[in-house]
Amino acid sequence: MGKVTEEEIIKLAKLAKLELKEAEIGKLTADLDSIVDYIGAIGEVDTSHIKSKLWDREPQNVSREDVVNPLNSLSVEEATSNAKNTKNNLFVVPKVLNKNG
Amino acid sequence: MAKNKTIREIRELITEKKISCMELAVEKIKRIKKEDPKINSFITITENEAYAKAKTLDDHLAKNSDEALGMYPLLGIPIGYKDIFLTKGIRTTAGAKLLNDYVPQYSATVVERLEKAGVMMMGKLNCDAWAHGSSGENSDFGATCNPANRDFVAGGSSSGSAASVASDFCTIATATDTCGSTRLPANYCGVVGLKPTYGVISRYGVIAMASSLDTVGVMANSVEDSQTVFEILMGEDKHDATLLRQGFEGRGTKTIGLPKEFFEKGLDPEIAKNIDRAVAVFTKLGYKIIDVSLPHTKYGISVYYIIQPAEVSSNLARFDGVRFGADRSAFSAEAKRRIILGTYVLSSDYHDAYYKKAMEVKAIIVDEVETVFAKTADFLLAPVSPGLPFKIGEKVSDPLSLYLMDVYAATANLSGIPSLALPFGTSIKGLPMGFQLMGPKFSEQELFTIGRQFENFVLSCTPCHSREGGNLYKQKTKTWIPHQVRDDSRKGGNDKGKI
Repeated sequence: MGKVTEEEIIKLAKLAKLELKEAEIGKLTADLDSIVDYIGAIGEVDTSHIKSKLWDREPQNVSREDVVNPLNSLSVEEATSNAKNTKNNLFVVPKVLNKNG
Repeated sequence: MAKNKTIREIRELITEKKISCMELAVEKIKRIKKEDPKINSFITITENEAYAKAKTLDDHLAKNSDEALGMYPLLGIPIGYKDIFLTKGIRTTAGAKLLNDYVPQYSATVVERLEKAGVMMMGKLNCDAWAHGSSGENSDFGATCNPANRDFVAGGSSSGSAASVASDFCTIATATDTCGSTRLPANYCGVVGLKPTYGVISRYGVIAMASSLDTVGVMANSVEDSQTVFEILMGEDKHDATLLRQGFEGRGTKTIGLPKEFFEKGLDPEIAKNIDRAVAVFTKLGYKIIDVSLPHTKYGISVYYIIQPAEVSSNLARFDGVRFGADRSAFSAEAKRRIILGTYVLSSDYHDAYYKKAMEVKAIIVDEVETVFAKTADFLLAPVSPGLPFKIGEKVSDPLSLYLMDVYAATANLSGIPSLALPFGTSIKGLPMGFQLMGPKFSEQELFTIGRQFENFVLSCTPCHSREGGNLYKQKTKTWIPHQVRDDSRKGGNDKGKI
């Protein structure tokens, strides 16, 4: 216990683009601590004989012709229909660069 | 289970002109509007769409009834879609306020196939937000109540799917199963829940949770209905590249394995006893019962709570409020917890200790399961959940105890195998119980066969099958000696939810 710190939670939240309130940080630290303690049990399993693999089956290539299917395409109006903020048929996104580049 | 009409029964009524699709739609919508406020299984009721579809079907029947009956295997069947399946032009929320006003521009492949098969959409069904949960209480639209007793949870994450079928608001419902989200609510509400083989039903247009484990599930009133829907949904879809077409050849030895690790401490003794009775039925049906061991399944939930949040943190990264939905401040507590946990296990300091290790342990679990199916058993019979439905609010403050409810569900998802959750028996408190039957990958047809044999046997004995379990299946099986395991489980009965 006591493995996960509040500083770590603040750092992780920043990476995940989540804004946390003070009370949430405390609760998440405690929750994560008990969860991480539980899932850490896998550390006791001997996996030295396992050739690490990310897939449990050989990947199969699925390909298709690179052609436009008009029945399966969205118009600009449709594509932007759920956006709260559009301009000139484009999505307005938050600024990612400041004036100095 | 017996009182709700099945697909076959509804089809007969329509074929014999005893009821029109419109009459059926009106009756169902009326029932939903009157009764569902007490259950909360619907997020959106699609009254207009139901009536429009009913009219189209009735018109077609009037014009050429043979053609209509041939074209629509699910003619006039009332359906609900878990609100995580995109429906073109109809709000889809994933149970999350972040998507409160999201209206999809296209429908999931599964929805398109069912609509084409003649279903009538009653609405979009409640679920834990983003399918994160085992009780239904994580929905931003309020918990779904268990139709058998409204003080209790319906199970999750497909809470509305199970509750709406159990309440006879819908005859069938779509669901998803990433770690028990179809099977658990099915057992809690007393309906049939199917989790198919990974890669058999398209997930296109289903809001993703953990893509390497997500499967589309089916809720129904009978095994036959489950099979009918499965056969319509399965098969190739160019939009989901994980789909595989593969045949299946089983051992055909009618052997059911009881994985002993699933009956150890933590299992509610009432569920254990009820499974004894189910086992006796299978013995009567001519199945051989053997003990098997899957020693690494005890790590399943740890593996799952590493892989799943890792994929959740990635899948939920797309919700930034730019193209749809609200911004990330609208995520509720459970989504935030999983995003943070996923970010933690994937972060450079911990990647090897958690994510990489979890994938290696997963490989061991897959190997164990495949070996048992190759060498000793055709099926595995196990509980779905360690405990009975609990009271709404009882466990909300302890997320880990809720995560541990998935402990028996994880094996099927981690190894990609199909599992059929069957309702069977009622607890002393009057809550539904059941169990799951797992088979090797692509063995759905075998599961339907054994499931139907069980169902037919139980239905034929219903009058003898009393609530408290004093019933005719009491005779002990000779091939299985469960006493040791059972005694342990009784001692451990109060420890459920504890590590």
